[in-house]
Amino acid sequence: MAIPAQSYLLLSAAVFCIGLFGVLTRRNALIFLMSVELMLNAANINFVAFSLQHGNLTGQVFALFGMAIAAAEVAVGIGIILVLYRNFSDVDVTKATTMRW
Amino acid sequence: MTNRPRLNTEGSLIAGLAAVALFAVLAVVFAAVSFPAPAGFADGAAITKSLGAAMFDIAPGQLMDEGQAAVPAEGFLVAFIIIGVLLDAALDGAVMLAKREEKGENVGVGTETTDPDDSALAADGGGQADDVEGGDR
Repeated sequence: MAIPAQSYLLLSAAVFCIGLFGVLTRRNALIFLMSVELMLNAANINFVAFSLQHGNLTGQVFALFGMAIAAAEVAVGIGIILVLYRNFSDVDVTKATTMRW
Repeated sequence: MTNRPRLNTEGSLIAGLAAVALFAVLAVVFAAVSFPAPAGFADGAAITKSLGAAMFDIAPGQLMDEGQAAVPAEGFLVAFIIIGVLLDAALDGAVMLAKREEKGENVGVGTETTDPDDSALAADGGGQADDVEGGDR
């Protein structure tokens, strides 16, 4: 019994919206980063689901590339958070309102 | 005084309603559409081998053993190399951001600084070992 594609879409939308909720409501930069990861992984769920739907592996390969993009984004993101902490002694994104060097 | 986990109520949850509303819209749209039965993969399909063949642009037939069927995909060799360059650039960017320099000198963990009060481990809040009290924290 195959799972219908709508279920995957619904799961993906739920994961994306949880990520969006985190971005909109939280102030901690690390939780921001985790929320963006959730949003990227929601896209990966869709890629894999439609790979199965069409019987073609292109979507799965693209999901692997999506994970690599996410890794690159986290590497730079954590570097930015490190600099944020050094300059403002906090990782609250609402505190960093000046371009202090 | 307890130290049990508490619900984090920082920030306003009003903005989060936008995310909930977006989910409601998406759920209504997805409930209304219907897809044909998924094509799926054949029983003897060698998924991982086909993934490798697609990523390195090799003809999948060359890799398959007896009874293994190749799954169609496009070639992604150029994308693979570009992602490799991107990861390398991200690593360089992360190192550049994390590097701490004082007077042109690279300051790392374990580096002797001229001022003994200016700890190189300031990233933990700058606390010195002698102002950490013993006992459970």
